[in-house]
Amino acid sequence: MKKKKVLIFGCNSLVNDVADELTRRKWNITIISRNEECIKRLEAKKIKFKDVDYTDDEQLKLLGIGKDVDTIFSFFEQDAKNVYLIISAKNIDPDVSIITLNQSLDSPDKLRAAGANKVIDPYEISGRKVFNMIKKPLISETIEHVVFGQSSINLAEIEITENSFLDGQSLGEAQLSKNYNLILLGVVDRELGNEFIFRLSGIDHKLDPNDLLVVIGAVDEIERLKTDISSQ
Amino acid sequence: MPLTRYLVQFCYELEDSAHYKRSKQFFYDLIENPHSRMRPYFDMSLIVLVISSVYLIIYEVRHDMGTFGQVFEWFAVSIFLLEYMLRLWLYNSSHKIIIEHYEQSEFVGKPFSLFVAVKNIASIKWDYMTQPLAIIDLLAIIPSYRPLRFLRIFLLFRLFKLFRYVHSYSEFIKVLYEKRFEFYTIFIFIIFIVFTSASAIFFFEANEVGGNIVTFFDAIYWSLITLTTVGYGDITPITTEGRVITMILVICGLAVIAFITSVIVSAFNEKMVELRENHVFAEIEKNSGMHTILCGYGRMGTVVAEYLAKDKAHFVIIEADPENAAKAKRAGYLVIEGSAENSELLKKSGVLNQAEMILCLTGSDVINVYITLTARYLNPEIQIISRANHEDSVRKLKQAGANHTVVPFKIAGLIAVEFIGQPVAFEAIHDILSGKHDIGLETVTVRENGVLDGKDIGDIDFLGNKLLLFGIITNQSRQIEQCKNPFSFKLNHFYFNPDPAFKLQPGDIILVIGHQYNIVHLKDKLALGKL
Repeated sequence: MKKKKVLIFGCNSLVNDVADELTRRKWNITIISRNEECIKRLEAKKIKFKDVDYTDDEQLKLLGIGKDVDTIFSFFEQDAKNVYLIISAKNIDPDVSIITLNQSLDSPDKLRAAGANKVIDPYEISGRKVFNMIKKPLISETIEHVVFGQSSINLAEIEITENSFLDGQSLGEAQLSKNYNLILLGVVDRELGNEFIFRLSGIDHKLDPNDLLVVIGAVDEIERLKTDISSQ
Repeated sequence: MPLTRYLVQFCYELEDSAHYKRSKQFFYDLIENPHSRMRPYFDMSLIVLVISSVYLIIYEVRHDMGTFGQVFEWFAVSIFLLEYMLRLWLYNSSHKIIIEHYEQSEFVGKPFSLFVAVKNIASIKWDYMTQPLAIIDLLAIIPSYRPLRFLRIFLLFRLFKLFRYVHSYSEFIKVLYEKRFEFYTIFIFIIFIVFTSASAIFFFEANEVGGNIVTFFDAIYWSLITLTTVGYGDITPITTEGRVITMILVICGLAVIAFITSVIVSAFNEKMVELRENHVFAEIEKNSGMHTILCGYGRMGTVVAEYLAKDKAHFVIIEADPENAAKAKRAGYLVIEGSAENSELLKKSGVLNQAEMILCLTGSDVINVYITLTARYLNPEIQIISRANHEDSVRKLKQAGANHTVVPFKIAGLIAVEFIGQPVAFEAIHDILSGKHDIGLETVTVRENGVLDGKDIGDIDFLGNKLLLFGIITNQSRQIEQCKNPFSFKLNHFYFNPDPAFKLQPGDIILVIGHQYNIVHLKDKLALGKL
């Protein structure tokens, strides 16, 4: 995976959580905030930060948007600020991926219209989580611990490279859960668009180079599969 | 006194008798207990009986029913009599009073006086008999007794008996009762006007030739008919003075009617909220034992309520903000307007026994902690899921007694982080978790002596059933070689992607991913014992 630069705008507990987790996963992050308290805290944690005015396009370009910035988290508390930043960033670089947070009820559409790639609605997600806790308590507990928790199971996308041992095999033949401690959920065929094909949807998909395998499993097992794919 | 001794002994026997208690409980459930299942049937059949007996009485005015009418009347009266006796009996436990008196006199060493005890019982029973509803019951029976035939008109009182079986009437009476001062004022005012105008019209018209008013009663009758704006026109004034009085009286009448109407309307307006709440509480009682209390209909509450409604779960919303409460009402949910910190309100919404779960989803952590604490204090068994808007509140909520906490922004953060590296994988797992496209994560429980009991997980053809094995949750930990990496939670262990040699035991729960149909199909197969 190409670990390029990630910019995080805003200053709140969410920014802290995301920054901590991304640092743990060794992403190259920079936090942009004008809040002095925030900056002090970041200094203490030794997280890279910049004290920059986000409304100035020149400053944004200096931060690397349009060059090496891959993803932007726009986590301002006000929707208006988020929208402004998204529009500015997309203007400079239409390809940059922007993840933002939805604060008020009617803004997801506005944020998407502005160009956000993913709008996260914390209330919607939490509401669904509460419902799952009620309806499927065991599943929700398991998922919380195993997938979103700090344990070693993770989800991952693995790209099939040309001539790797999986190239040309069908989904059914690739016995990943036997040889690796992984569960293969499905595949994304980039030639057919970005649609996710569930493994049991009835199509025995043939794996081509550039296909993305969506797997879930232990981190070291995922790494093992990745090295196996790239080595052959 | 052998009679007294015999009676006291009999009371002790009653106190000991399980049979007596059971039958009393049975009749209590049948006619009094508002929560019993039998009561509605009893109420319904009595309503039918009352209506048909009144219908018969009216029919008999012009027709002869013969023996059938008599038999039916006897049947109805005996049922009413029986009901009256049962209610009188259920009102209190007389034998307990006798025992109490007896023990009291034993204790202080005085001779036991049956007379005092009986007087006490009689006064309690008298209390019952003088209740309005009990009087109505009695009036519905007595006129059937032949020597009291002249009271026949009271047989129509049976219709009032319906009040007993229709429960909203009491609200109506209560509303009017609360306005008794206003009604009292207007009543005095009406008497004053009627009397004055009657005197005046009598004074001017009684001796007039060709006039309609002859007696003072005519004057009173005319004045009331005019005041209430009914105006039959059978008695009309003929002198100029009389007409002037009429004009004044009509205007007074309008004022009186307007006043009465406004008093009643305002009384009901004030009571409407309460009436609606009572309706909500009645609904709660109906769904006893399985409903969820949702405190706070904010952003998160809205989402949860939507999901719950889609799932046809029973729930009630408590919301303090009138605007949000109105929104919830418009969405068609059961809503109690008020603050959930109020423990009375929580009790009414069923925290004590009816609810199985309470969700504290308000935007304020202070309130959430408080509700959590109150609910936990009121009911140690209830499931509490609480929202924590700040990470620091999680510990406080757990301390207050929450079973689970949800931190919206933390979850958002986790999801954002998952999204960054692998958007497709993320969307896929997210879809599966939320059950989009009908593909979801489901559980299959291993039953004792069922098909799965004792089987190796490798022997089960999940792929053939179009399912993916995700893992196994179990409360018995297994030897280490059977599983590559168990995850231990509070009570359970989770084995991700278990080895084919993993032996299933009763109580194990298998997590599978697949299409809903396939999961249902597998469960059907298991229930039939085939695999």
